[in-house]
Amino acid sequence: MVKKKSPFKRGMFVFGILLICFFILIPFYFMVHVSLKADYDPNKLTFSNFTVRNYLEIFGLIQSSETEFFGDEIIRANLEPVLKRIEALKERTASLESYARYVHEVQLEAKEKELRDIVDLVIDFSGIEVQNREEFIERAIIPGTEETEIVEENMKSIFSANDVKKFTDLREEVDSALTEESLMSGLENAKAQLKSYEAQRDKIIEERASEFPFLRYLRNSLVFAGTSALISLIVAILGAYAFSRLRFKGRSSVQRSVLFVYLFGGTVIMVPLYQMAVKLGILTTPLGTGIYLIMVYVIQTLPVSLYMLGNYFRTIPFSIEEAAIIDGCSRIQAIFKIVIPLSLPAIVTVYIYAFMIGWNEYLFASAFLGLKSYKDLFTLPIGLNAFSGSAHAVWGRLMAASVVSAIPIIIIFSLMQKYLTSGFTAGGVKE
Amino acid sequence: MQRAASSMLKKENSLGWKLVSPTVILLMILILYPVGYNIYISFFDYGITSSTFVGLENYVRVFKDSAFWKSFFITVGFTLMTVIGSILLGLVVALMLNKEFKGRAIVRTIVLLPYITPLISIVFSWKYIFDPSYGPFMQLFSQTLGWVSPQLDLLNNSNNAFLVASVFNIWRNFPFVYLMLLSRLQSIPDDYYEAAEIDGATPWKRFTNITLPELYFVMGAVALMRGIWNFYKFDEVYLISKRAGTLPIFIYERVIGTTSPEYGVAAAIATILMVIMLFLITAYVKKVLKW
Repeated sequence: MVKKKSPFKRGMFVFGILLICFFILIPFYFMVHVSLKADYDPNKLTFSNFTVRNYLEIFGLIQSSETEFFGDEIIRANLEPVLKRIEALKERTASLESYARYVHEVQLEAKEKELRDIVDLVIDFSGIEVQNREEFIERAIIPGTEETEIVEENMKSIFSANDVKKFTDLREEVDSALTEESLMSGLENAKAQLKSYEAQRDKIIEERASEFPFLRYLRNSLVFAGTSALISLIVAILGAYAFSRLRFKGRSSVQRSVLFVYLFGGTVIMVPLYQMAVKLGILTTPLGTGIYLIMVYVIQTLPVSLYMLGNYFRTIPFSIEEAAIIDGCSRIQAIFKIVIPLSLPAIVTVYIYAFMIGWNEYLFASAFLGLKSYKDLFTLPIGLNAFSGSAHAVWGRLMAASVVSAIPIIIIFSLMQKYLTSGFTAGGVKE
Repeated sequence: MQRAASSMLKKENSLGWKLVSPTVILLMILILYPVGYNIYISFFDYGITSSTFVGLENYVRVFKDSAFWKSFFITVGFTLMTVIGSILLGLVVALMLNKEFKGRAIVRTIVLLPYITPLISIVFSWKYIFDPSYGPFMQLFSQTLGWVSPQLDLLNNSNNAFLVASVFNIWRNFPFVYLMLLSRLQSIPDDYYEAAEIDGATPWKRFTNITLPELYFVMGAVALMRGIWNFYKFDEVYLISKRAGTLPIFIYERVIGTTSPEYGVAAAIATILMVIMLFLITAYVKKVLKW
């Protein structure tokens, strides 16, 4: 049948296809684009020229200092105010005398001046006769002297009661500031302040010094996802064989509960799984935490492995196995010598699926590893997410890491597209 | 002879159980027991050191908590939007890619990219696009076109963060819908369309009278499956924005992201979530799988 299409419809169709491709590819474009730029300068909000430095950086081939990344100015702008404060606080807290000097010079100077000005004002307005003005004012701001009483008397006629009270309060404060008790407590406060500033300084320096441990995250992710997918595969081959070939009591109820898990989410069992680990003390050691995490990944990937392998095993004719069994093979031997070699494409597909579920997993990794801060065990998802939330979030390196972690998966997928897409539709993929 | 057959059956029975025993043991320890334990915890005021039985108090607290209801409706909205969005987009793409044209093989590969790329690889790119200070989205719509206010923060505002999460979820998951629908479309015999064309049916008539009824069943199945998955979707939402506020994040923030974890309350919410999901799953099993 020959179909004629108008050029307009054709154009619309091509436009639609292009639009869809654009919508799909735009995030990939930015991922690659930003990964090829040096890191952004927070002050300029622009990127410099194209470079592969981000890639060399995440593989540890080069290690540029933070000065190279952010520029001296920004480093200094970040660190210098803190250093200055620390310097000042150190000088101040060296001894009680130095603190008293500080209180006198810095804190009281202004207040005393204010008091003197007020007294000066009062003298001018009320016309008190003073022989030595300077001396009179000095004495008038200390409570309990003759001069003080004179000034206070005169004040009441000039100022409101409220202002007078303010004046006396301020005078009390100045007077009591230099007692030993208040000096001691002030010194304690200043010392605590010094400590917090020093911690802040150490944090800035430490964060700067720690490079981005992308390779460690990559290795951890490979170990966790790879091991759990392997265990899941072995368990699933045995289970799927039983489901598809053997008749035994309770088969359908086991199958149903597996399907049930397949639709179940991790969110629902997060609290109890965490509590179980805490009660058993598993999370106190890195090894226990790692094994527990792998087992949780196994249970997450098991249902889909069972389901897909079971479907595949049913397509292998039983007669081949039967012939082998008649020739003297046991059932177990038949699985290893016939079923597994025949279903190799499906087994590889299932392994890749199981691997990808572990590779993408965030919830449990963050619950088990993040809480105790086993930073050495961080997987890519939590490692990168933690890095993106740090003060030094650096888009270029983050995107380079994204590209590197995506490429192997995309290559594997392109090579095995036929098997993998049929796996999707064979019953969907658990997420 | 009969004894031989019955011993064969017995052997098969025991071998079957031997082979599924690892599966069953793992299921018992890491799924069934935790689900029961979760319900148990939900009746306790569960602290780090001690726990006291409080009956239904956790549930009462949850139902009286307006934050819970806000989170609940955000979750429902998120689920509805993502299910409808990904099905519509998946349907359109499947219909388009079911037609022959030059370069279809490449486009079919490209369409799958969002679904197969690891989540962690692509999520930062999305965050970058919507970043309030230097993201290309804000650059285009705020600085160049001036359509939106420069103060708009799409990622960190708890009122609209779930919208970006929905767009991301649709983008990521429509290829799944597309694949399911495409494989169904390919199995519709060409004869149907030819017969309809001879009868003079318009393309729209052919679509509504042949294609849609054929797709109806698989679309329902996909909608339920996506609904179930998206209802408790955690990582895709959380990694885009911590403030998207869906129920799984609500639970997470009460257990992991806090210094004073409320295990009892979190367990109660998880139980509520589970009951809702049980309804959806039962519907799925009854309508779609027809056991």
